[in-house]
Amino acid sequence: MTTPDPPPGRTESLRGPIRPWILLTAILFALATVLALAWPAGGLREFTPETPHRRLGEPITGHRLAMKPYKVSFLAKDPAPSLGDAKPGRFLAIELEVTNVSHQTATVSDLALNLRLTVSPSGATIDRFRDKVAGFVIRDGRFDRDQLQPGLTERVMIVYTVPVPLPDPTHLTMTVIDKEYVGGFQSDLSEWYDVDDPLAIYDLDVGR
Amino acid sequence: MNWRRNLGYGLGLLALIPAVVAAEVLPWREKYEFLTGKGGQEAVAAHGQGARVNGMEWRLKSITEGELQEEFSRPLPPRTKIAVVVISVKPLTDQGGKWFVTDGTCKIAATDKAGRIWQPSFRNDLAPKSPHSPTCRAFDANYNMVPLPVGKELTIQTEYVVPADAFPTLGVQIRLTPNPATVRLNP
Amino acid sequence: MKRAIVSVLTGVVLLAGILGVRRADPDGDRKYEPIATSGVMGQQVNTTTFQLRVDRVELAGSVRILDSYGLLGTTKTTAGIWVVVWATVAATTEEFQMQGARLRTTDGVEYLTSTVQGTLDKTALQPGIPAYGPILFEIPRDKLAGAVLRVTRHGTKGGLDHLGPAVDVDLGLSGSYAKSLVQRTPALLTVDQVREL
Repeated sequence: MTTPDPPPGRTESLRGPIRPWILLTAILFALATVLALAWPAGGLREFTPETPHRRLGEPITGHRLAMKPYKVSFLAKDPAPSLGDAKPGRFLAIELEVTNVSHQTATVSDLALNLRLTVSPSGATIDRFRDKVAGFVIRDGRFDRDQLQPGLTERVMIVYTVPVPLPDPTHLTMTVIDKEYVGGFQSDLSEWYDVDDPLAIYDLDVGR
Repeated sequence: MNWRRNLGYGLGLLALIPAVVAAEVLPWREKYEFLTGKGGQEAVAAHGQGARVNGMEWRLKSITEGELQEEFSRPLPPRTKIAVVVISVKPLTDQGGKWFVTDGTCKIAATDKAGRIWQPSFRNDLAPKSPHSPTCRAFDANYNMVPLPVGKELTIQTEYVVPADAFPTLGVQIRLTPNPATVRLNP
Repeated sequence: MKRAIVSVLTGVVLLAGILGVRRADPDGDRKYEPIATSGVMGQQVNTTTFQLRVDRVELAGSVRILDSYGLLGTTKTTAGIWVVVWATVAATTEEFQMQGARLRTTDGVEYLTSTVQGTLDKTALQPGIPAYGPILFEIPRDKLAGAVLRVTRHGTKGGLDHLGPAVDVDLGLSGSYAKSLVQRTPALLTVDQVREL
């Protein structure tokens, strides 16, 4: 196929003076896009979040769970024996009032997995996997209830052993990690993922 | 002229479609087989003949009706029968014999002509104690798994509670791993 | 000049079209949702994997299970209200267990079944042998109206609940009926175990 030759005068003006305009427009367009995308998201300032600190009895609400620790105790006997009589030992029991504020059933295990604990005076971490002894909804005098249904407020107890080399704890720092329900990198489907910045840091005194 | 070249390109693109589809689907086959237990080889035998797969020969020995062993057992659901199924497996090669000490699994199920599948019952009061093994594994005196020698037959008994109308056409299906295979033993 | 205007306008229209199509694209969760068959109370719903009929709904302030040996389990209280859905279900071709049974309320919240043992959602059903039994939920008292029972074979973990058919049964809990049910809720309900039929 043949295309008609452009009229003689125009070839000159299709080169030359057009180019700098194209370049300038392209640069301005790129800058405008960046600003247009950044402005609704909060601008180009660096964002350094401040994790709020809380004390006993103060509530905090995440995307999945809202909680309010009301008692922390260091006990000489297992408060939630699974078999037979309560065994002696060194137990740290945290009691919280929890409400599932999400759209799906959650469990006490979900709550416990997102708590990071360090005790004073040693400054050591209590391992949320190895040192956890029990986690349950306080109801009907039993220690095996795990579910947190949406919209229902329950009292929850989570029990840990304090490893032998550590001195008796007098103070507990509990960092709460939030979770949100979003699509992940590998799949389109939504799942509960940890939020990078902690939701709150609780400074709690340990009672007896 | 030009349209012949374009047609060439068009046909070339058309041939790419199955290639792209295959590239998308084939990696999922393994996951599909793992998740559902389907796919893989099939070996079928009827009338007590042997079905050969993965170096083993499987055979249907008998399907008989069982009855509750205890007078006060929990009653069976209405209109059901107990099927006592005895099958045998014999290694044909060393490889087949060694499978018996690996992590490979065999899932035995009862099937009927309509294609329905029943899992073995968890109850242990459906048939008298038998000399047959309850699983596709051989053990020595100390309860350790041992490989099965080539040519040695192991008989396996499983029991099922099936609807009475399924009983006349019952056969057996065995799903094997790790090389996915399905053995069908028809009556 | 006219050509420039036409090209700019075409560009804008195409851009709007692209944005519109992108917005209309359902998100990942909706894309993989199982195709659900709907039913109402008392209606038998058939799928390739299972057949289901919801027979009735009861409420309770607390429940205890009566097991097959005639022994009563511990009384279980709740911060909300117990919803006991009685249903008949049968597997069609293969073993079936409704691991993904849940109650969906009008606000889009999904309540998984209670972990209480001996309920219908924890029973493995064999083809041709139907069973009748209870499915237990705990929900807030004011969320009952319009609740729908959704049944799938797989539970919600690992995205497996997107495999296989689903059934949605409207439990017939209109606003006024639900309110009257809640007002007449017994303090304690003894719940029978699953029965094979």
